[in-house]
Amino acid sequence: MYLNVAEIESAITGLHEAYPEATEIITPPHATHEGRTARLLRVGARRDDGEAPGILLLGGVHAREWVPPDALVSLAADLLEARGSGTGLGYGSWSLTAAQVRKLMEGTDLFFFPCVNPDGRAFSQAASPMWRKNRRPAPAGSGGPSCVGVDLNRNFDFLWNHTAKFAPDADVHTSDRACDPQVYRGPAAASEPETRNVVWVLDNRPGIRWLVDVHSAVPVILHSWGSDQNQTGAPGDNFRNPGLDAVRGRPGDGIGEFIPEGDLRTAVGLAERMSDAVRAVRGADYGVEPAYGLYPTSGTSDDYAYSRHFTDPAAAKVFGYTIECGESFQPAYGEAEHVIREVSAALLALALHAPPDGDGD
Amino acid sequence: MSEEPELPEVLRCHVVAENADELRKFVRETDPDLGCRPVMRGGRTGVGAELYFRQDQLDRARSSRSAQLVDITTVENVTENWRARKEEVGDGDRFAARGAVPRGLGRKE
Repeated sequence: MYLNVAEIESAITGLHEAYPEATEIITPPHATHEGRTARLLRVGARRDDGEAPGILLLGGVHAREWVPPDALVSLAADLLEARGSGTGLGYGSWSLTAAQVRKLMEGTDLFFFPCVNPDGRAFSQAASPMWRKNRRPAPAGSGGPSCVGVDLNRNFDFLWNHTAKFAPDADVHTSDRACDPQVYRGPAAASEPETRNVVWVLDNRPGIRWLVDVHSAVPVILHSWGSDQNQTGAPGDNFRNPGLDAVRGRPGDGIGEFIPEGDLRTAVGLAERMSDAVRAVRGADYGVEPAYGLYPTSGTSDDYAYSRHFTDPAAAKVFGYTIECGESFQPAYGEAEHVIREVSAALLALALHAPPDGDGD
Repeated sequence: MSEEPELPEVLRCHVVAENADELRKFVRETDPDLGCRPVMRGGRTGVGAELYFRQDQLDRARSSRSAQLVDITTVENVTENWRARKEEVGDGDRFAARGAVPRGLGRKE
């Protein structure tokens, strides 16, 4: 059975009570529009001193994608049980030994944020199969059901103002129309409490070096950038360059978003490790792609996380990924269980192979 | 009697075009829901994407000018699927009782 919103929260409480020495509950400061509090569970065997490299795992950003929150709760439970009982952990033909589980738990902090958007999930599970956004009340004078909500994964402060920051014909996959049923970006960057909660975690846990936002479905594993095609040769062609605002985002125009070659190698290499782990579960081929696909995106969590150290040199470098798991938003639960195993193997592969300092070189 | 409000039938379609530009032309004209991220994947016959249409929207898309550029296969009735999946959402709170701890799906070995 899929977890409902109440069950996700009580699962966090239950896991903390069962494994207090290896977990910490983290409560971000912002309640959702409907008054819910969405919490995180840090899983790691040592006291969080900011020294251990951290991985932030997001689920449930998009309401209609039901599998990711269940996957994150399942993985947290698996790790804690395996460490507690001194066993290894396996998914299909992919596995960790008991020693690897122990090492991972002692050397890495995993921050599970299984349901970033609980208002949206509750609404999708009860009333609306295709509901994607949060539940921000409709603006005054806009009464239709589509006028409720903001797409949280277009609300982060990364090239958020797409009408000013992209070429007019780039067809950025976001919208400034409050009644857009899917991709309304919100009235301001990070306007939404759910977005600000993710930012708060990144601000307050400086050990975090990796962010994986688990979504569905395609399937595919995406790495930065989503705003334009990647290029490694022109450092000045980047998201901070206002001279590119009129041309950003067009495919095949020879202008792209700069990513240092070493970072690209690290990002792709680890994504391939994740993809290999997925394949070992039951043969599914997720594959690895840059997040720029059919169209550019703006305001996404993965690009925001990776952009922070360019914008603020004092900020840690955080590699950002999106896993689009499975083939359906709401597969039959028997199929969802397979997808949960795929996501679990992918995330553990990242944790196992991620270099401790966040750099691949 | 069902209390469910009337929901539009939404269909997930696999749409393949010979190249990305033709796929973009079709999307621009028909304005489907592009799913989570606007991802396209290469295949033997071109590039494909998963697109979501209401039934009336799909009918119009099939007769659009750019429909000749693409091959559309309906994969899933999302609304119908959701009605079945709703029965698979937890009822109540399985972990409310003290000591009720969730277990993961991995093999402990």
